[in-house]
Amino acid sequence: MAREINLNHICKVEGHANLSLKIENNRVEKCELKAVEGARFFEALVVGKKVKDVQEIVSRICGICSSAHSVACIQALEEAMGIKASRQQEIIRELLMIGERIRSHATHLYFLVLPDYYNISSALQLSEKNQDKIDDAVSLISLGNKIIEIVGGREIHPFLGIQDSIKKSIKENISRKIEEIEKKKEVIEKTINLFLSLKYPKLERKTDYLSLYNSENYATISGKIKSQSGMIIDDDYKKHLQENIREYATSKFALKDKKPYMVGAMARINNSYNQLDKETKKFLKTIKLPFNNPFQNNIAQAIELLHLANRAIKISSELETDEPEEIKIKDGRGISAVEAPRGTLFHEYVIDKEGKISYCNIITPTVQNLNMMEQDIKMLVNFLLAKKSNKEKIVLEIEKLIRAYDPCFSCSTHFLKVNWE
Amino acid sequence: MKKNEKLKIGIYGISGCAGCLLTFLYEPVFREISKIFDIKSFPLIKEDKYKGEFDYVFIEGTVCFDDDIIMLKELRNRAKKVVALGACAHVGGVPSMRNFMDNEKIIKFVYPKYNHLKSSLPEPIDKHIKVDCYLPQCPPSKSEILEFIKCIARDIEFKNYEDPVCFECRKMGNLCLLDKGKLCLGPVTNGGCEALCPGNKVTCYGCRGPCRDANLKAFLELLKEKGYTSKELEEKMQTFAGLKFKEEEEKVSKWLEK
Repeated sequence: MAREINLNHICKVEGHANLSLKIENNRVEKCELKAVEGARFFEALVVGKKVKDVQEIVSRICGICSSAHSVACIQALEEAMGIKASRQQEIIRELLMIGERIRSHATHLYFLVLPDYYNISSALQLSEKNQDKIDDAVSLISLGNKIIEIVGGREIHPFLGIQDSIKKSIKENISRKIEEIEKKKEVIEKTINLFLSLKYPKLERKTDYLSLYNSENYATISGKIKSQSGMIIDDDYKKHLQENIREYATSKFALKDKKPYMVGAMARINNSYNQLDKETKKFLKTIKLPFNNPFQNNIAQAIELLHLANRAIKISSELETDEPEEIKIKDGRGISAVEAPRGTLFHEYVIDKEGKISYCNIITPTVQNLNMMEQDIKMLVNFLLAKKSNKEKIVLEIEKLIRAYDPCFSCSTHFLKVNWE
Repeated sequence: MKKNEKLKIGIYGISGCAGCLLTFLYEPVFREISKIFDIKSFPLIKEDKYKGEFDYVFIEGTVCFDDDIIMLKELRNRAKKVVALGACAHVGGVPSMRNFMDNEKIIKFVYPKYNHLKSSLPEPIDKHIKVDCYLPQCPPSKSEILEFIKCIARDIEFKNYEDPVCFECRKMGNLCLLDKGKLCLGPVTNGGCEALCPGNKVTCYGCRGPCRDANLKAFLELLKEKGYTSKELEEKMQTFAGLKFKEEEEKVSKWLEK
């Protein structure tokens, strides 16, 4: 007997998405996850724009990961013009990304994930005795916001230019934060233990994990692209990661060498476990790596928080003032890959002889995860159908799985709505 | 509303970046709204099960396709007051830039193969429904949001700032970016942002829309003297609020014709 499960406007995820499942003979025949947002055409909007206006525009792709879009954009433009960023510029960028990832993970874990495991509809319903969870969430989100505001001028859509001058006030303000970051590690450890203690469905499977990698540190703003099947150099990304247009979605789907793969915190820890600091590694002792259960992405995010706090402390103390020379706009092509909260983000630009953008391509983390999400949803539903679970249970578990991936449908929908004839 | 009864609010997004919604989740706004309001709906963090009426609905985003319009109309019917939250809802925001570009070219650029599109041109929400209040800016100002929610909780009228960005910019003691040879929209843009961008050495892109009595003709003359073209001014104005600046421009030219 054929039946369908449709989830419209899935809540507690970023953006709008629908899921439709077709079940025949107690097996999933079709699984389609659709972003249902109006396309905003960012890649086309920047064509013809001057180099200095691009960051202001692409930052607006996403309010959650505007730092990541800004950093990827600036770095790609610099590469196109043959500009090498100083260590000080790199520290600013990494701090922007750290602040953002702390904020994003805390928001995701406490506001989007936790309610499912406490059987409540939102964190607003947490009981008196669990109010400390809200306090912890707020405290970590505020810490992330503060870091971004200090180095980027505002919490959402930070100011970031090519070769910005780094004033003494930034150096002073960020070093004043170090003590507070140190104190917040207590909240982070509580968070890790909380997310380690939750009971997740067992959904072990093998897949490919993709993230930035470098041997010296846990890669954030630069590095080689590592997957379980080897290293890719930035310039070859298109050959490996093909974006496919699917008729039912406004977002694109990506495949690596024609196979689905996963990006995000789980992929990062799987690929760069050795680059985590000692204190963070301790928490991984009890866990069997690599992570192969998508629900463990929640644990991976919680664990990353500690490494990020330690890293912020380290690089904040290294920050110095910087007064770079005025840049000269040149033509060229540049690509940058960074680790956004949800995974590897690619920006590519071509600058023409007049100093204007003639080409832009952006691949967001959620676009890369969509295929894998569909595959995991199928597997989970088949597993639940075999156990004769009812529809309510299936829907709840699907939503938990989708949330574990922490998708961002605003980001994935930078393409137009297509109506097929 | 009965005394001591909390206002029922909803916080929604249509096509957008979620930045404005997150402003409501970040401090100090989050604590305030959880205290003063009964948050009936906030799909970003809550199951959207409530089907009743709202006293206030806050809406983020630009109208980009039919589903957005359907959602707007439904929310309008259920809300006593609708608040446009952020630059996209207020003036169209960055996506509205597409109104001034060659759409055929855009489609071919992103979809070289498939172009059967029926996507409407992005517009601010007041093109489709009546909007009662505006909280402008990208992202919206937290202090303005706090002031707004305090006003509505006490049933006091909220007034939007109406003077140009330059007023606040001078007050903040910033050096004029126009004088430094940068194209800044401060003189014709509505303030209320405490000149945040110029304060960070970034020119004003006009995200709060045109200010009251914005004299675009005089501004263009000034820019021409400085060596800019009207095309450069137009392009800059189109970044966030091109549609609203265009309306203003039409008003000015009509007035001059009289």
